[in-house]
Amino acid sequence: VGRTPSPQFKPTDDHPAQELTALRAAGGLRAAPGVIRSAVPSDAELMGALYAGAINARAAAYHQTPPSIAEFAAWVFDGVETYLAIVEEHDGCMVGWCAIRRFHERAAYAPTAELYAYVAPGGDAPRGFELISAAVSAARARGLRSLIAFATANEPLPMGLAACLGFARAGSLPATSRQPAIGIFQRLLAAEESPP
Amino acid sequence: MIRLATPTDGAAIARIYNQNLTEAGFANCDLNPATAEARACQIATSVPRFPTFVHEQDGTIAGWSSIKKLSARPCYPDVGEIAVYVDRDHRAKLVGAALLVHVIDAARERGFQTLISIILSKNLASLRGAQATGFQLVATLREAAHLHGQWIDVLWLARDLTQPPDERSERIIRWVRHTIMDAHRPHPEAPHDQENARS
Repeated sequence: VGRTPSPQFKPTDDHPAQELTALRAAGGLRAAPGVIRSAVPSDAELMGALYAGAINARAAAYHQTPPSIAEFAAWVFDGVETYLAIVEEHDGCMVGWCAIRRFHERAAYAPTAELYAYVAPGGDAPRGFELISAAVSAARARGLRSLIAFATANEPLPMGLAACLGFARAGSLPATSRQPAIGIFQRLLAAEESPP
Repeated sequence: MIRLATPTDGAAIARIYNQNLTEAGFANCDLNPATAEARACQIATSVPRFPTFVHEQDGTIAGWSSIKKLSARPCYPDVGEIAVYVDRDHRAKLVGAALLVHVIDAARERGFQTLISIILSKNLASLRGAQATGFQLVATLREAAHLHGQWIDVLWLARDLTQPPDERSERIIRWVRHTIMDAHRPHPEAPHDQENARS
């Protein structure tokens, strides 16, 4: 979960502005002020720019240096590793993206996935709430048991988002000389299910 | 003797790794057996920063250890993830403790600042071994793994290599080093053996 500093995103006209009917069917999707839709490969450039901003801000990204567009597209649109990738647009501008990817390659971790969310700053209210809510709903609909998210411990936005969105602090990775401490958050979806 | 692994050790390493599967143990979250070929290839193509070591005793591989990138965040250059596995016939003989202390030293020599050991909560032997050598619990991922029909908490333990461990751990490490040099002589105060240490 990260926040990208001051990007200037241009609207593109090749985004199909379709909403995620699957997410709505799963329930829990709030009425978003923007449009939340499935990400498509042509989003990779803008998504990658948001992601690069987070990497440069050392905001708990998976990569240490910004990947190329092709590398990023291969990573985030990997059909095996990525369960879901969505973007949020406001007035045709992408303001954030969120993906749910496999947490760990080992089979016993299959019920657990990792949530990645990168949003641009802007407006009076922190962005990303609706985006992450939609992803969480989709994760539940998919039958995942828990979600893990990493966030730099000194950034109030991701921390606040995590707290608002029901993620509990699971622990942290200690800081090193080249990286800040990383908070580890978890939302145990199974615990939220209604008893039979 | 603890030494760098060679590709010819691949079969022994895979055999020891796969004991967890056949025992339905809680050493790791793998449900697929390792192959000798894959392990040999891994060793052959490994770089010095991410080594595999074997503990050889009388011509037999009694256990192995490794340092790799942190699986959940491979981009963090100063953080390594360790694994320690001990052959079932050599457990409770300080092989795991020797490998663990050795791999901590090896990681420090390679410039790592933090070591992570990922341990399933039911793997008490590994948990005790890690804590005895200065690892501290930094995260608990509740029910993050489903293994043998059970939901298992996954524990992340970290060792700050830029700082000395607490006094008790330091004493244990000194004792293990001394014991290693003394040909693994049994000792009544031996810490619990590290049966296997990664998830």
